[in-house]
Amino acid sequence: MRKTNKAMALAMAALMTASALTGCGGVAEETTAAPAQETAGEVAGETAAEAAPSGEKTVVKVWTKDRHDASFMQEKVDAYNASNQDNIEVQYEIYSDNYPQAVDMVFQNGDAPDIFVFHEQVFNNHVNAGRFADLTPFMDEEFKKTFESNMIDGFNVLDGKCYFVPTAATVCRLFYNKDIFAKAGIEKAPETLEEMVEDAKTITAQLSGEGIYGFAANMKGAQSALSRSLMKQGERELGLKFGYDFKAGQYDFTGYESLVTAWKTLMSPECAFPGCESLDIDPLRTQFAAGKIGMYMSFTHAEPGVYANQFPMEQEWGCAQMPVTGGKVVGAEHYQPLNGYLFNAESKNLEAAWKVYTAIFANVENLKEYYEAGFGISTVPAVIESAQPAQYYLDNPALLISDTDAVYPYTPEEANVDAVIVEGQNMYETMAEMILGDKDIKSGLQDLTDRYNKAYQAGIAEGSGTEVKIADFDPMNP
Amino acid sequence: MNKKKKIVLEILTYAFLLTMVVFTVYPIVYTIFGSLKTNSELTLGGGFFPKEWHFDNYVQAFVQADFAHYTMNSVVVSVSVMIIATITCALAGFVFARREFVGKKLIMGAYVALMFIALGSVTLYPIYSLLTALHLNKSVAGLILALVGGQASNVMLVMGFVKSIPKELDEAATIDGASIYGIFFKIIMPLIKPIMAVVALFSFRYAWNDYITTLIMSISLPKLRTLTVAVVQLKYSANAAAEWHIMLAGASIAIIPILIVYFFCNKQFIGGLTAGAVKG
Amino acid sequence: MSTMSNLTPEKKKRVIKDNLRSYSLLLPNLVLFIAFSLYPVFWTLKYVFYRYGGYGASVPKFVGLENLIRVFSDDIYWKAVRNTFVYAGAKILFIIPLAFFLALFLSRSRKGNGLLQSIIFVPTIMSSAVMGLVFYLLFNVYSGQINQYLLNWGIISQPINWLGKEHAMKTLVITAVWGGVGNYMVYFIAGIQQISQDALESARIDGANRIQTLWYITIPMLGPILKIILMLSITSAFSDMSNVMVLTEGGPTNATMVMALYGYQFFFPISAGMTITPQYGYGAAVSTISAVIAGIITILYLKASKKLDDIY
Repeated sequence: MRKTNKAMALAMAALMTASALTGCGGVAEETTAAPAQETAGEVAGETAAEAAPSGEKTVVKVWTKDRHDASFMQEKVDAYNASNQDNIEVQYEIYSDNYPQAVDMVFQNGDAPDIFVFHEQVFNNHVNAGRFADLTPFMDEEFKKTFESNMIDGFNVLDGKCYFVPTAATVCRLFYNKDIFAKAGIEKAPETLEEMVEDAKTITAQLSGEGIYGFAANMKGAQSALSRSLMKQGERELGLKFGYDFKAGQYDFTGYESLVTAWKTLMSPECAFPGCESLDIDPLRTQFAAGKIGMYMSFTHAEPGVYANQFPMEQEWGCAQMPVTGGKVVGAEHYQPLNGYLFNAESKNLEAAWKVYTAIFANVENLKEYYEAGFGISTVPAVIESAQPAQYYLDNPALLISDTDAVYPYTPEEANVDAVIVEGQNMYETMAEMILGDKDIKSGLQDLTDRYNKAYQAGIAEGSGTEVKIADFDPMNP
Repeated sequence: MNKKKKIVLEILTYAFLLTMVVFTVYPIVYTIFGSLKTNSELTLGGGFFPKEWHFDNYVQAFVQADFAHYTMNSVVVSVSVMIIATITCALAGFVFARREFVGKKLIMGAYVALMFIALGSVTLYPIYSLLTALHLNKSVAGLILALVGGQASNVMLVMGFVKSIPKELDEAATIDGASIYGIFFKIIMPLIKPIMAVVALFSFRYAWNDYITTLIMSISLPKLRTLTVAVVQLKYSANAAAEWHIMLAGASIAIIPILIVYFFCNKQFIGGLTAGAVKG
Repeated sequence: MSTMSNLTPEKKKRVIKDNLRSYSLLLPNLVLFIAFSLYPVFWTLKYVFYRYGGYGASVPKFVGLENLIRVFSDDIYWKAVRNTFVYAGAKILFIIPLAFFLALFLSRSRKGNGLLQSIIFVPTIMSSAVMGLVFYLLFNVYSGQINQYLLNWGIISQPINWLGKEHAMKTLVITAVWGGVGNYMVYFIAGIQQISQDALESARIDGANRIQTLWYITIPMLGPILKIILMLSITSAFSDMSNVMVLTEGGPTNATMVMALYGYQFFFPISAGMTITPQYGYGAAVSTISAVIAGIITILYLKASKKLDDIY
């Protein structure tokens, strides 16, 4: 997966140039816009030439889970529906709630759409059953060239088959309120876990009278909360993804002790925003936007847009790398590729679906607009080179994917959910219990390790699971 | 008992009743007044009454959040469920009460037994699979059937009621040459109207208010959602935190129609409940 | 009917026709009953003995008693069972006396009592899920109206974490009492109205005061209806789920997880943010054991109430 890192380096370099050019941004925009328009013209010409003169409209159904870019996407879809010469009608449907369950059910009842937006769980759950089409046969040379760096072996390319092409990505970072930090006399964002806990304590001690607290997490859903925070810290601190040690080929949660202990303090009244246990991410964001929360952790693709549009924030926020114990980083942070599109293997309209896909979702011009509007962080070199990123990416380079981020392989549970059926509570719920003081940390982590390894071994013994062991695994460069 | 004590007792009684009324009414009034406030007023607390009356919240709910469509669904689904449940229960209740037929004991036994097996909502999974196999999962018909369900306790309720009607009435009709259908439609049905009204009201209420069954039937097909599901799902929507006013407007849209139904037939509701408890 | 073979062909025909007529009326309901009540129960009972679920092309696999054994060592399940008992116990403890006193005061024929009855009954016609959403907003820690009133009136100095793990169960019970008290009030009113006025009258003539008539006449005579009311309140409290699902989603850290919801989550997710790999077999086992527990409680209650009858 080294290729991607190179792409990231390129992205960074492009960004640097872009930020250097902000002074004369208008000129840069104009020069980049011209060739892009040409490409758009070409695409239109191509589709026109291929147009089939049949009366019946071909309906291509697209399902997405994303609502933050809904109006942008709908506009593109409408434009396509109005202008395409192939008599194709795209139905773009948003399933932001229960998206994975909707997909599960629709696979059961055989009324699945032609295209699904990529969602890690959806992909992992159904790829093994052969429900997604291999896209390689559809790709022409130009497509392959444009998205070369987005083909990540072991992630979207499995056994030579490419199931989706991510065009954007997200990472997790610590978000903090600069005004609150200044008010509490803290000079900079914490770099170590210890500093972070101290800062949270200071803020709560000094400012809780005004209703301002040091730290918050959306603990209502343990999985949602910890997979965007503690698990990511674990990748940096331990080089383990979701508790899995690729080198040893087994689960090991005992190393999380320091993190979980720190989190216990962070969630105690000494630090935490009251009511974290029942907090969802959106209410948390409103409170952060209102200047009531000092720090929290979340995904970088979503947060900037949230504070620009959804919950406008007056105070200034900042973004920093995930703090780890003693500041000692031993692993890269797994970044999450996004905005891929999965094709239903059973679809009767794969050809049409591919046309729709390349015209709307893999269209460099659209991707550029998408990136510039701040809906997501592009990972397509052709887009990064020509785009003028949104201002907040320039102000906070930590929002972007850097060389300390990489894509990890799939853990056994991710590779085959059916093969690792853990009895009792999952890692998130168990850790939440420790963090909220319901369970002893040391013995709890040991118990978690045992239960996960037992489930993993049972899956292998039964033949449904496969062993995942990478002898020369380097967490810094997975 | 002296007068003073009596007065104290009276005051205590009224204090208790007043507390209970406030306790009961407050969440409903909060919902309705809250639906007319701005979002910032709601999240900052604010007074009991809205500062300004924002009826446009309802416009937003109906137009942006598509509540007009969900309202239509709720009406179609609830009315259909009510009609199907009432008619099938009345027929079955009558047959069980008045007719002898092969397998009656076994079938009735199953009805009674199933009233006591409380497996809960997990049975929705096989029901969903069954509807899928019948290709009913993609239409409102499947949702309606799932909501009508087995109706065992309602059948028993009707059966009890039919039994309380003097048998001589339909025996006389039989002698006069009336068929089983004639007896049901001409003699029994007019007499069991009260209990049919009870079944109708309660199945309407159930379908209108149901969350879990409708949620599951509409997961892969959001256009089937009824008001109740649509309102609750707002909680998980992208703008949940920012749109309390829309959530409360949605909640009001969901509760006001049933409140109106209740306003007109509260006697039947209350009376029907007692009929169910005493006889069922 | 078993003597059908002795009948003449003509009579036989008539009996068959008669049977067919009966079935023609029963059929619509019978089909619904078989499809939506009977079939799901047998389905569930069957898969108790299978490992079945997940994604992919998973084929159910017979595993004998494995699922049932796992239920017995599942700590969270037993926590959910405890929670269910706490929830049911607290709900009944509050709802029955409240309903009784409401009925006692509102069954007297006095102006306005009919209106009050109707008002108290209103919550029972509302969706517990929609009201769960409203309560979620009301009991919100940082901006809910309940905390704001309490703070403004100086009753508390720090906001109460109503949906936190310490208080979530209490909050749940408060909302359940809100939703159910009108129901039981109506049952009690029906019971009180059945008590003969003569008995009350003669007691009053004998010089009994109000509290004495209540204790010696009204309550004992409410015996039969009280038995039904308790029965209904037990069964409904054990199956309550949608209010829990919307208000607390079983959390935080399973503090409000109840039996019904715990079984459900192996089939369907509780909320959009929570996902568990579907385990239909195990879910069936959990639900079956929960049904058995509820059944045992019901039987024990029926036995106990019979014993009480003998004492009276």
